[in-house]
Amino acid sequence: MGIAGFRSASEPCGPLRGHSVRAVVLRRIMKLQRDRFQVKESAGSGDDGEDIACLSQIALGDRAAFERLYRRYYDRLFRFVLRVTGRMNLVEDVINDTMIVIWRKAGDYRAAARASTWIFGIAYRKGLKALSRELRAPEVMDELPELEQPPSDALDREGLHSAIRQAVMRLPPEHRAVVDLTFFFNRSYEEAAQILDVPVGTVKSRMFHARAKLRPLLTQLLGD
Amino acid sequence: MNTASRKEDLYELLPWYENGTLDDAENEAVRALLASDLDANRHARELRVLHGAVADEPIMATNMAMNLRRLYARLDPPAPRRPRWFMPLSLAAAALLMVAAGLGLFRAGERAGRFHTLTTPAQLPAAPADSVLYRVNVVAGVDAEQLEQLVGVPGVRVLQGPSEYGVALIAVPRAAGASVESRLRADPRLRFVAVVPR
Repeated sequence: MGIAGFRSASEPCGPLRGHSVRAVVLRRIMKLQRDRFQVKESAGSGDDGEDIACLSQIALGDRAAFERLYRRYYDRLFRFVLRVTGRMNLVEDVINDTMIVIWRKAGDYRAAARASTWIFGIAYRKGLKALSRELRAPEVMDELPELEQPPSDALDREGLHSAIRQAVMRLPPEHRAVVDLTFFFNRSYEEAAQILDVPVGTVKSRMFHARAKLRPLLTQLLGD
Repeated sequence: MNTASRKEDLYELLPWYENGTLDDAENEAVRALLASDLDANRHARELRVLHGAVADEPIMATNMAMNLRRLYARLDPPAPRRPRWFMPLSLAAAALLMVAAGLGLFRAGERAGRFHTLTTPAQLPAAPADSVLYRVNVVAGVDAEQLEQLVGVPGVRVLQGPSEYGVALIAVPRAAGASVESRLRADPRLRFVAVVPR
């Protein structure tokens, strides 16, 4: 803590400590915000509690909390948005579009879902929007081309993984998102549904189709 | 739910069995499936490979600090540049306002009434037509009779005053105007003399 009541971007988003009038007022406003956010004792633990604290401060216009959240999420969003869009040139703008929404709408966040679920949901929608702007007709490969890969026994682990990742990148963005949320971000199907703003059945269906498209390659690579 | 659809449902859960996010009941059901179904085991093995491949992917993020600066530039956009016509137009508007204010003040002064001096009075008392009017200022204590004596010319009439400050208005026959003026200027009791235009 530097100046009483103010926080630097490197500090965590916990309650403010300080003796200034501003700090006291901010603490009270934060308490009200927390009540409004309906943060339960058990729900606000760990990273999610930290994210919720950041969001409640961002709702009060705290730039340092905003920057902290930005730094916490940048790599994850970078990965996710790149997966959704498949376009490196869109990623930075989509991340910033997402963060602008967070800056403006942090007060709208409700703790019914994890903060990261809310944030990833925004990033997903922004990513799809940017992609549709870029490609009026997104190119989707329904049939994976035959990979020019050596037999599976000649592939080392990295070569195998690389081939699978190439195949994943050929999936439609909605399917890529489900695969990435499940296998990189380890999200449950309910959370994936919340992020993608679709029913659980749609998430399962997208996963089913993604697996169906990947199966020939996986079978080939596994030598089945 | 029949057995086939139940089995399909469990197959759908395999990816989330693999990432460990199923609840206890779902986990138990999938485990039971895997214990008895070879095909499910093959799917699970594929998913494990897929999981490993996706989770292992190294992605180097770009420069966060630079992107953050770009974000702040979007959050705090610079004030929009004013068009070229803005400055001349605002100067013209300011000048117009000043002229209007000046005119308003001038008109207000006119409405308040004209300013009158001793030599330009608002109203002159009646005086003979062939006379010249003089406004004089003499030392205090000189009365009208003494003022007439001071002028020393027959036919001079004191029309107003002298006031408590010695201000008076006299009518002098036109023929004697010049001599009266020089006589008055020569007298030490006189402070000021001037013709009043009629």
